[in-house]
Amino acid sequence: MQKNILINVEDLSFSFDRKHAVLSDVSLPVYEKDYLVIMGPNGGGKTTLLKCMLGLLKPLKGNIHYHGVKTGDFGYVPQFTTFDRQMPIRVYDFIETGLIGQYHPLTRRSCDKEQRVDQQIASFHLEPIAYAAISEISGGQLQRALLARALIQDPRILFLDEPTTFIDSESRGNLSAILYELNKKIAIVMITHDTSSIDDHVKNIACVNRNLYYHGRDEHLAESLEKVYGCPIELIAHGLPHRVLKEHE
Amino acid sequence: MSLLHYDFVQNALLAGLLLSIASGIIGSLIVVKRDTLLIGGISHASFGGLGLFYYLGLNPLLGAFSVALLSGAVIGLSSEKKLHAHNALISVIWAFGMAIGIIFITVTPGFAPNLLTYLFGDILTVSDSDILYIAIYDIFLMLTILLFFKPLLVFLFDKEFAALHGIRVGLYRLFFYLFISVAIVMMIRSVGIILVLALLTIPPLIALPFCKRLPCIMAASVILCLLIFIGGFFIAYYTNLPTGPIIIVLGTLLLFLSKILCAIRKKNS
Repeated sequence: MQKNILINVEDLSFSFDRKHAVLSDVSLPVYEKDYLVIMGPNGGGKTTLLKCMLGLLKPLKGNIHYHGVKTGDFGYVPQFTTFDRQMPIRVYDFIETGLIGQYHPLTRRSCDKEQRVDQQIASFHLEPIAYAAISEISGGQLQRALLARALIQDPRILFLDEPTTFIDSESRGNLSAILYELNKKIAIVMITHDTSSIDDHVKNIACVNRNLYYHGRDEHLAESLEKVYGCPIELIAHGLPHRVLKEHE
Repeated sequence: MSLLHYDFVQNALLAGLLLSIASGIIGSLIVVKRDTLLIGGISHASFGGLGLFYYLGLNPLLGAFSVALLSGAVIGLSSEKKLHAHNALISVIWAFGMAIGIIFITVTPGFAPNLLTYLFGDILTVSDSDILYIAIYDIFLMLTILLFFKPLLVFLFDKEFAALHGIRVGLYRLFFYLFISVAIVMMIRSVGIILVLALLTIPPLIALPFCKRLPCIMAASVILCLLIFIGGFFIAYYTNLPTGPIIIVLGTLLLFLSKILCAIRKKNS
């Protein structure tokens, strides 16, 4: 089945100092309603690739083509370390900042906005902590607040950067269920170094460690990971034994 | 109280009120951004301009103002990606400004000006025109905060998210530091180069544990700043001690008391 491509990364290279390539000749498609997981070791360039796709970093070489999507259509769930968790802001106001792209200095908070925030709070079960500061809530709750913030403006692609790092196994289960439901409507691009966070619903997998190896479905994942991580790793996750990824050339 | 009949007392209190508005808002922003070193950097750097303009026979405060704006722009335009580089830049600007200031004051013929006035300030010397400038600044600051509070908040705590949603982070950064620089120079006359750091940081530090929202911290800081100002002013007057240092000592005591209160509250909850 030929699906529409939303984002097409072509021969992208990136370097912070113009000497050492963080990414080298990376090509990658993101399809409509894709559920793409980008894996690889720490420092392998996963987050850099994501930021290039989001338009936050400019590639040194290569192109990124967007087909019918613009940055306003991107929902982004960053790593916990990229923002200041000690900032005095309540969960409610935090989620509302997701609408900042539509902010205009001369219009005040509208009923419509309040409704959308309330809706997000209800659908992510954040009512009990809606008026708590983000510094007071748990990792799982913060993750849900981040999702609520990213989804409040109805994005067409949701990007998640290491979403499972600071949450417990119960919250992981919840996250997995939420993403499965979301994926019926929108595309999901998730970055992780945690092989156990890949579940049955994932549609495509790419492995990145400076170079990128793209795998569709039903290939042998374990061998590919071995190549990227540079050492054999054990995969303990539901659904994985069914995958067979091609070997990297 | 007959004291209030004096013009200079009325001026000092009015200046205190207007400075508290600027100090409470700007101080809150700096404290939540955890960038307090910046205040010391810009205020000390401005001493360089002070010395230079004194040497040239111009108004020293105008020199301080120019150099503070220049330092604010340099810091605002530099990369903030690496925190230690940001802090190192501030430290260098801090020391360089002080050095330049001392050199120019030394080579200026005649008596050296009363350095203590600039280092520790004197609220009693505040003039009508000073008050007018501070009032104009306050209006600008409050308008800016009212209109751009939300994007500013996102800029402060999540720059990537801000950039993704079309907020011009670089521009915000530049204006953020320029606003801070101007606030600092405004306060040099009344509390001085050294003490401005305390007046900007102490009120938000007291308010921080009691507030969940930035507007709450700002409002509480303005009120606290005013209390410290007025309290310090009258204590200084009746004890015949310098106003600036008394204001800061009072603020520090309040901060200490608030920490004890926090500890008690934590124990009881």
